[in-house]
Amino acid sequence: MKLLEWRVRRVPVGKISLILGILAFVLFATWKIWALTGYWSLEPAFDSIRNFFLNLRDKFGGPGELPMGLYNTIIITLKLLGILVVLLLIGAYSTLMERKILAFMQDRLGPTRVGPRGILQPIADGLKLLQKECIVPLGADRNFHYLAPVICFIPALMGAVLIPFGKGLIPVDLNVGILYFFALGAFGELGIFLAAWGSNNKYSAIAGFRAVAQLVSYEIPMAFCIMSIVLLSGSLKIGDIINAQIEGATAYGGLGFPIWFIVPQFLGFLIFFLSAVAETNRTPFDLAEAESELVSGFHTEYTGLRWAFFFLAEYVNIFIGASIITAMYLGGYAGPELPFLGITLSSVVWFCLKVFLIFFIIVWLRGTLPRLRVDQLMMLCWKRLIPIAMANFLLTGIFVFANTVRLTPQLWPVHLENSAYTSIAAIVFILIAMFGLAWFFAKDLLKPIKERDA
Amino acid sequence: MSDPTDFLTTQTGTLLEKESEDRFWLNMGPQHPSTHGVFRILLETEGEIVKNVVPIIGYLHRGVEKISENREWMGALPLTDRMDYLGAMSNNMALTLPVEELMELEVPRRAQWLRVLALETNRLASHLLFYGTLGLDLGALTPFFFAFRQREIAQYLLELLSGQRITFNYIRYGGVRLDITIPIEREFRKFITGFRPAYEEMWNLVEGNEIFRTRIIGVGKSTPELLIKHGVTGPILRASGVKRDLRKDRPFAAYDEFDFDVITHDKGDTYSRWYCRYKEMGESLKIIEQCLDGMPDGPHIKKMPFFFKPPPGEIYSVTDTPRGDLGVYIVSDGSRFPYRVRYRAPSFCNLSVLKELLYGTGIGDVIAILGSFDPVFGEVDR
Amino acid sequence: MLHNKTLFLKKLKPFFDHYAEIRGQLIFVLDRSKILECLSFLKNDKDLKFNMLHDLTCNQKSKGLEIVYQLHSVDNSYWITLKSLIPFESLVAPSATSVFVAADWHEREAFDMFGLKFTDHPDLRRILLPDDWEGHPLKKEYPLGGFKDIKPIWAYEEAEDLQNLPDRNLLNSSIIDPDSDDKLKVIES
Repeated sequence: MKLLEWRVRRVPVGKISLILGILAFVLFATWKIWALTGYWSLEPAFDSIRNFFLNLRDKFGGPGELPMGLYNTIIITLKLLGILVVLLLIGAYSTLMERKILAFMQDRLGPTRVGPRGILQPIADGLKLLQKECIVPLGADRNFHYLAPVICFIPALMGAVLIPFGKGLIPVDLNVGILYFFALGAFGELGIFLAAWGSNNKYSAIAGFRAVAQLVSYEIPMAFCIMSIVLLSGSLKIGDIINAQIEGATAYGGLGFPIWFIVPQFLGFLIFFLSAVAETNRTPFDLAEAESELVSGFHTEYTGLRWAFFFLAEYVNIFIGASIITAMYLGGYAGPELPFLGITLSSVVWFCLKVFLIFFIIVWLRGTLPRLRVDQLMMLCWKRLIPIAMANFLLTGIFVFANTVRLTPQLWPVHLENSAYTSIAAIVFILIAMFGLAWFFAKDLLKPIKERDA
Repeated sequence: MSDPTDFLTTQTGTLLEKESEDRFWLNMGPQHPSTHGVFRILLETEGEIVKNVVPIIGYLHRGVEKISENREWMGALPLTDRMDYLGAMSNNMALTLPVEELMELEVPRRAQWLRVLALETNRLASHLLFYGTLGLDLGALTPFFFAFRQREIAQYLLELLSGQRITFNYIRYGGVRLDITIPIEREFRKFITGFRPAYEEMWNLVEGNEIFRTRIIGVGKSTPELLIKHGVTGPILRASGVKRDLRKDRPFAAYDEFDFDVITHDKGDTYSRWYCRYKEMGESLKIIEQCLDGMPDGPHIKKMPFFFKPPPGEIYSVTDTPRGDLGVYIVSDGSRFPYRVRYRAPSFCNLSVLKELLYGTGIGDVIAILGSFDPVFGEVDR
Repeated sequence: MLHNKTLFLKKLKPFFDHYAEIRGQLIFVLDRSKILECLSFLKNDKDLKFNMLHDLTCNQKSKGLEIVYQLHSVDNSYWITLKSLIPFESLVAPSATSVFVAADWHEREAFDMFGLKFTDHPDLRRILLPDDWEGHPLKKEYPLGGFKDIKPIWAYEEAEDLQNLPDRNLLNSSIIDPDSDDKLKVIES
């Protein structure tokens, strides 16, 4: 009977979540203040840690100053912890944001109970999931079942280093940035398939087959879009891509005039957006976790914290996807400087606004659209998106070539005066041509998917 | 692939085509989230394509017919609420009708009108639930909330009218239990004015939604011959172009005094079923308005003793419910207890055709087609 | 109008033994050997076109089970009732599935509830009750509570003896604990 009582006894979730929520908020606010005042540099804080140890030595005596390696370890750990906390908060609070936006679209209130206006709801959810037992089905492959959420979650965390939070605030600006993002996407699929296979559940297995087919297919149009962007900016680096949009040119190439890539690449934007939605398994492409068809898809057999890992990974992936879209098409953190905020802070604000816009559109899709059928989904990819993305890539190549010709008068067939007027006329002409062709294809893209003609 | 309608096999292990290693049995239900209750289907699938279907029912069997035989006639009435719990009003109606016929009871005119009012409000609530759950089955969340916002008010109205939210037990032998009052009538009118814009909005949400349309147009096509062969009735039969409505053909309550259309659609697919149910809501609204406008005066019930003895005899009477024809076969031996009560549940007959419609579709379509049939398992299993 | 009495009487002359009219409903009583013939006649006759088997059920009489068919013509909106007595000595009726597919599930239910066997039925199994159920509940001799005492679901066979021990409670832990080998765990309180 005791065991039964123990199971039934209530845990004060509300109180604990309140305390932890306040703690998290304090932590978040501290980091914010540090980041904003110190230009991503936590040196004052790290110095104070060092001083703390030095003071300890002064007071109580000791073997001398600690070796620098230890300080560096502590500092790197702290940095990583900071990113982790921020990411987890973003992942958790995306759920709240989504629920609130959906509630707004469906004439309801959404979560209101935990904290003022339900602001602590994600923390309460997280705590609830922490308490829950992780159930492993009897016939499951225990190793795969255990590994899958980890494999799903780690690429999501690894992707976070790419996010250009603001001017000079890119944690690690890899020189193969976009490729890295692409590779991590493929890594996430592995996690999903392992989860599906390791669960020993037929629904999960079907979801795994669906997920692999879907994700592998949707990577192709995505790759074509990325290649178009690389053509335009001349670099794989996220920072360079953003700079190409702000300044018009980088060391490796560029158009010669500043323009957000959504204008010459509107088609690419649409395709990349759709593919990103499909890659993150969101409605209308959420076939891998179709609640009404496959119970819960690949995470049917997951509970507690392991399930939470999938959940977090999904939302962090959405955030990363939205950030990459922002960086590639919407000029990243580009935007006019806001009053009283300074350059860095206003770039952060602009970046957050754009990411939120993309996130809002993704949630909007969820609020309006039902899910596609499997054959319709594959048809959309192979018969619509891939041909259009390829055509878009070709057009971009022509565009970049024409632009290069424009920039080098030696190549001109007819000698014209290289004045501002000719330049502007050429740019306008090229843009109009791009738009015309884009619209020509976009009409095809937006046409209804026919009934099952496969 | 041969003509799917030719396929008739129910044995669990019987394969239609030769066995292959690419197939496996998928057990859908009884705890699957979108089988609308406790339905269980065994699907033999080849990839996503369904190659064999074995429907299994009976998980909600409570022996309503047996219990009815062991109760008085009045006691059998609340049990009908528990059959089709989404259209409980029409189930009450279905049992009262043959008993009244057998006893040759004269039901007051006001009672008949009140019955129509209750029946149509309940039909509206039931179809609203269908609208919402079909959206959920297809993966859209918003239609559900839009529909339930209105359904909630309809349930509230029925609660005002009958005192209960789900199991009404409102339509009694000889009339209805409670009379309508002026405040309740005012609430009804308020509901009608509020419902109209929401009704338009619900139309746009599906009709203007490309993915919604591609998911339901041309899915689960049926022909009138197939449906009639299997005894399918109600909106599903009307959706395949058969203009048949018992409210017109065999009017009960006071339906012959009302002006409304029988909605049909000629395609017979999931879209048609959606269309018919959606448009029927409008017709229900029309009937409710007419009811409120022309409610006759008089008593609302002809007083009946709690225990009564109908003369010996047997009657088969049929009424139209939101799901189809509910036939009730009663046999009385002249005692206080029914000798035999048999319910011919519409969902039970409708589901028997499912097997042929599901053959050759994908798993996503299975859910869509099942959702468009709108079965209630309290009724199937009784 | 539910039926056309003179037409029905003329058409069904060779089949029925006698007929009755209760509250405007026509009921024809026929011999068990003529059921199938009559059903297919009603279905295929051009004037009647009874294309829907609306209901099929049983009713227990003193001498046997009465099988009741409710036929419906969608085109003419005619209704008709056919009845036939199946004596207790040989509880076998011809299956109507060859004429009406709709009879499939109805006949399975009649078999389930009354134990009436149908010849040539493609798959005569219980439909609403479990396959191992004893007895046929809608028969009058079947008591309302069933023949056997109903056991709680959690009382598995292995646990039956333990259940009688004093001061002990049973907790089914197999679902929540993947590590437990035995189906049931006994926890002393």
